[in-house]
Amino acid sequence: MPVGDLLPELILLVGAVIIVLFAAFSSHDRQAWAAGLALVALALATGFSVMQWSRAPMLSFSGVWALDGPAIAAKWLMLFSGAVTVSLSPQWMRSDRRHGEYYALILFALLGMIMMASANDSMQLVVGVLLSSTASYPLVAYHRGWAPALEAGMKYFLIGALTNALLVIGVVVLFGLVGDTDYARTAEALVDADPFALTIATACIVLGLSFKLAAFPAHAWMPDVAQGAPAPVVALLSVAPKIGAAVALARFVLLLPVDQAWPAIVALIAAVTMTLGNLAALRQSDVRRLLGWSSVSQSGYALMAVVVIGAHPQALRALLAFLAAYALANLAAFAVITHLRGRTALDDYRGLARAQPIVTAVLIVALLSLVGIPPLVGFFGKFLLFEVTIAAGYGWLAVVAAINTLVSLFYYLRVIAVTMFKAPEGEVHVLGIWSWLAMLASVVVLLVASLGVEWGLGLMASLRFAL
Amino acid sequence: MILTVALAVPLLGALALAGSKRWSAMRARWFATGAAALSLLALIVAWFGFDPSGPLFQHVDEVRWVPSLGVAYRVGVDGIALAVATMSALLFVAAIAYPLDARSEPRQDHVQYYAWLLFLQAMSLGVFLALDLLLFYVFFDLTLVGMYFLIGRWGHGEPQVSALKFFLYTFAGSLALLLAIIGLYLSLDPHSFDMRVLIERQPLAGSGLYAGLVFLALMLGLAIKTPLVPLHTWLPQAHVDAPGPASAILAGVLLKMGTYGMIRLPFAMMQDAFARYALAIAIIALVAIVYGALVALGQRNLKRRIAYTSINHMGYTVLGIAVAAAAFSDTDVARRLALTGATVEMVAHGLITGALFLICGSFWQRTGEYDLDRYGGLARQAPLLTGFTVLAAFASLGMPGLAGFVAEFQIFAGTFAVYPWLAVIGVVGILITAALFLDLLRRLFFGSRPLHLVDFPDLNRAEWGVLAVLTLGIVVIGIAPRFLLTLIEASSAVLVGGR
Amino acid sequence: MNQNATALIAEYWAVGLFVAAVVTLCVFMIGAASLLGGRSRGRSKSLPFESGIIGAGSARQRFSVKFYLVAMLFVIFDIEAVFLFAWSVAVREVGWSGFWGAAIFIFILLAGLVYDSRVGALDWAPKRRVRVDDSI
Repeated sequence: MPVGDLLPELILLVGAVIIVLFAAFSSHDRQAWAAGLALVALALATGFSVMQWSRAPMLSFSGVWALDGPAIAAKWLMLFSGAVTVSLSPQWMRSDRRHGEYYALILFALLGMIMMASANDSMQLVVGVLLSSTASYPLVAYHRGWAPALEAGMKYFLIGALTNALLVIGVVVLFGLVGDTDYARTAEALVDADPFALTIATACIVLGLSFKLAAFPAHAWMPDVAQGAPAPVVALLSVAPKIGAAVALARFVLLLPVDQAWPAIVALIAAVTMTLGNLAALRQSDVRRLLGWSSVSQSGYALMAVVVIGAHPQALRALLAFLAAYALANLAAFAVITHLRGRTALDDYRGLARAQPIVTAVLIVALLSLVGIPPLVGFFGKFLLFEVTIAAGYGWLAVVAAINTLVSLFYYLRVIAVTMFKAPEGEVHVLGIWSWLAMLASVVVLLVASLGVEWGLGLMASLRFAL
Repeated sequence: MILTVALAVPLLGALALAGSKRWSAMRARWFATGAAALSLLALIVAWFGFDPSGPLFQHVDEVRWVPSLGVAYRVGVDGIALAVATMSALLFVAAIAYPLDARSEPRQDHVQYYAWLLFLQAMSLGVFLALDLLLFYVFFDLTLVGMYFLIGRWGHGEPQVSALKFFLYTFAGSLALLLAIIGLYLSLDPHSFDMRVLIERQPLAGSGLYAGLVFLALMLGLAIKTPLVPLHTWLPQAHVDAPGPASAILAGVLLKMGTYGMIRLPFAMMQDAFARYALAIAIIALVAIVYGALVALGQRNLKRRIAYTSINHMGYTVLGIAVAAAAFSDTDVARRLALTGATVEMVAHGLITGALFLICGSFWQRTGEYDLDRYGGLARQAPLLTGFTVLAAFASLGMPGLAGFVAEFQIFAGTFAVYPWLAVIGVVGILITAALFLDLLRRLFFGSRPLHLVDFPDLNRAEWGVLAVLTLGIVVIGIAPRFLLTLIEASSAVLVGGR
Repeated sequence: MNQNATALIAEYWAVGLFVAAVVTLCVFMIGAASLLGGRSRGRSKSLPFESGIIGAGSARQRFSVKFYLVAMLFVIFDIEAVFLFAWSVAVREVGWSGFWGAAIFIFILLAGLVYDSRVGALDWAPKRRVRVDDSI
């Protein structure tokens, strides 16, 4: 049993168990030490996954576990977002008398998302989705005395329960069709499968993953979670599940036979998702909710790369580059919100530029990167998406995305305008040194990624799925 | 190297200003003027080093950036770019040195204002100097960001609404441009953003619908920026609410990016497609000329009127470009003349309109009004202001001996040879322009003086000094344009063919 | 297609007949009873029948959250047993690696049990509330 192939994941698991025990036996003022433990676990896991990088793409554990470039790159991104979330949390959670297990839940959720990205077996995919979902529900409702948090958690749970059930049904139908859960054998057997049953299975699995992606039609939890969940948790949940689900979806759709019309369906979902997210974000007067909707629309862009994943050799690179750019920018934005103690009404951001120039600068850089203003890394992500979609003959989708980018500029600018042009009101309270450092770290990585695009693209140029 | 200096100096200056905490507004202004002037100096050096009989692009710098996408930092100039860039740098020096017309703002804020102006200068020069399509797009977008903050923060009236409208409208153009740029990029094998390669290879020649779509997206994006008539509606509001110097930059530099882009991208890279649609574009330009002039005539707001004359003048430029692109091989000389005229029009319009908008800023600073009916009889009280305004207005309406005439004469001479009827109709535009400027001067400076203008002060030293430099440029180009024409003709000959 | 339908009918006609007979019988019994039987009305007749005892209170009662907690814990450890049964039938084939896998699995659940008891999830009465104030 090649345990070494699972080392990063095992470290996360063991770390989480240790944190659970630690939290059970330590007093309130030491609960924050669990954050340190979590960071150590994340660092170790990152280190071991870096060591896996140079190997050739391979399948492990009799083909259920993919150890290839996309999985590892996605793992880095998720681990990084986990690290940012963990370092944002201690001061946010300070008043909670028992928050040690919060970090364990974060590690469990990350473990599930990493499993999604690496799954090369449909049951493995189900386990990953379920693990990440069940660990995320309590995270969302962690402020159990606060009604909006409970409401968000309940919505998240209900939509999640429905779509996870659909996912399982889809996987079961798929299993019934091909008699196996392994992707390699699934791909072989699907060539002459019953097209009607295959359509049902595909639709259910895509629906199940659209929940994790926060894409239409299972997107409704995102804005509520963004508003009600603890701000560090939103930083994680708006980023990491998307990465895992996008890679998982790309891996899955490549199995389908060419005569299946899945690109058209995914393209439709992409177009609807980005349009819906942007239109809903337009009139929001709550920054966290606005960013939640914007996160929905960004899923739509990410799906553009999935549409052409089989038609263009560089689509995978575009997908990962876009996800990385989105992850960095969104993390920075939510780090700012956390640092500002979760202030959320747009009017509370009046004149922030005068009171907190650096924080405002970070926020503006993050938002401009989300729009895709060059030379920030968000631009390169979008550019690569446009390139592969146009080159693969989906010009209309690129035009839709361009129009949506324009619409999105409007609401991002609304936030920027309020911080820059209005007179400041009242005092601005900030969280503390930890959130400050996490915010700076995320924006520095964002800027470094913008400058080092060449290096990043070189790293991703030769990525292939192991299958 | 010299071009990189011209780009880097203002950018570093902007960073220094943004990072400084305790500078006084005065010191920041001098510092910014110095940085802008250094950049101008670098471009003048580049001008002297430019060899009109040499290759099309000179002073080329190339640094690797993202080789796997075919993107690099590539800068270089031909005569057209150099002329427009030098004019822009001069206008930036003028705008920075000119007093800001924000009426009641804390002075500390002004340090940021100069930082943004320097940033905008670096980005604008970047658009003219870039030899890489993607770099061009990067600079093109970043100018929007700079202008957005300048209007939104230091404007008057409803600055945030205007700034937002400006950003959204022109960003829509940018996105069309981006799609077209990707279209051009994908047509080249191996994919590259190098403009020189694109100009040389003409990758889309004769590829029907695809070329047509790319051309349409390019022209759409650039026409919004220019602006051509159905797409001009962002312009008047942005101008009215922007501070005077920012308005001067907007009209003098940012609009040029549209027409410069037309020469650099569709004209040079897709001659085939442009030739097919040249007549249509010439007709649209003609509509812009006549419509812009007529609407300007109807305006009672000083700044709005000047803003609409910009639409009219940019129409001349587009007309010149369209004529130069028309595919009649026996009219090479005329087409070259038209392209040269279009470029001179860009330079001349930048200087003239820049001066006019700076003057508008002075009016606003003194009274807080743009309504022409509230003015009158200022000629005796403010002779300097009257003198400069009259000079700039006459230059704008095409008085011989001033810069506007040189440009418009060449454009119409070229048009007459290619599309005679369009030239005849176009001259009507000049007639209306003359009427509207004479009417403007009459209302501002002659007639009876209203009571509230009794203590209207004349221009101060900083103001007339700056205006003197700009008007000197207008007069020199009007009387002895040879130095400019040599530079431009070197490139227009290569681009049109027949050298 | 037609052939298929014929074969289908040939195979399943008995089931169809059975279903039809059941429905018919039910309809007959209920219908006949309601047509032929006598009726009496009264307050006690409209009460839910509870072996002659009149029902007390509403069905929508609140139960202590502890019940749910215990139910959830039961499910968790029940599922543990399911996995261990699966291991036990293959214990020879999977060998030592299977043993370590099962051991890690048990230890993780054990950690969960320890955690549950420490945070008071297993206490039925709130006697240790002084130390840990809020339960799950």
